[in-house]
Amino acid sequence: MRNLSSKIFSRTDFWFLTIVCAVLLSWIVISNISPHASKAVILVHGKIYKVVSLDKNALFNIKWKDIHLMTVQTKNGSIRVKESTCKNKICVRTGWISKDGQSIVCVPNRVIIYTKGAKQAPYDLMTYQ
Amino acid sequence: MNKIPLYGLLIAVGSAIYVFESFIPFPIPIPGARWGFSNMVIVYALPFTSLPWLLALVLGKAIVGGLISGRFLGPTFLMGLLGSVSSVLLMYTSLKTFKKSGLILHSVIGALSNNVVQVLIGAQIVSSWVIIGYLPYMEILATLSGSANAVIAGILLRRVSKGART
Repeated sequence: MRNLSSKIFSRTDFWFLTIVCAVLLSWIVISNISPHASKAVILVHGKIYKVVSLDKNALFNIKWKDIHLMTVQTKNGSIRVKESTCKNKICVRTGWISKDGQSIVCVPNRVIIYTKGAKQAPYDLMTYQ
Repeated sequence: MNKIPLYGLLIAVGSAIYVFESFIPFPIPIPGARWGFSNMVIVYALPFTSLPWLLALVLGKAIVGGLISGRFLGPTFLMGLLGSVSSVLLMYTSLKTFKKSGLILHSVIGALSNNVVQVLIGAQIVSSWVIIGYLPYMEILATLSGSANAVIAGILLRRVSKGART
């Protein structure tokens, strides 16, 4: 067969790996210098369920069609999923998030929580359901 | 060796790695995200296989691995399958385009595209683009596991006798 002694590593690979690592590291650095967020948006099934201010310390439940999905806690400008009914608990293990643009995702319950907006909004709290 | 037993063997090995790699903890909290060490068999088959057989290998590995691990036809199964198909297409193109480069380039290209496609489909499932924030971290790990796959597959290609491949 053709090309039996396939090379593993060459000069091309070295430059390719260097460029990939440089791009990825700078992407991570840029995404981490965001300021602290003031609000968190909670999406359930792709729709906005609630927008919470992170300045207040609170503990509340998220329900969908009267089924309890998870308990969310806000404290000292951060937000976390305290407890969830999903199987693998990935959302709980994500822990606290506080910076602008971070997120907690729970695919089994189809819940997304993301932080938003370093700047002050004219309203304090907004609820939809 | 004939084609059917050879690729059957590779599918079996790939599915076994697919099941066992879920015991290795993955540091990024995205559902369905995994190291992808089972794609080692695809990197191994890449230099001497035609595109239809590569696709058959991917499909067989996804179905058998999905049945064993209980993810068959779940949402993460679709993510994994479309990710692997796209990565195979790109790896094959890269093999035909960059003739001077080694296996690491092809393998890492495959791993990167696999994750991009998985995150795009994951964003469709949860209907939000927030997940893309995890992409750079996933791609760093994909670069590591892709390089590891290429090194192991390359050493295997040198050690395994020619008779086992033709």
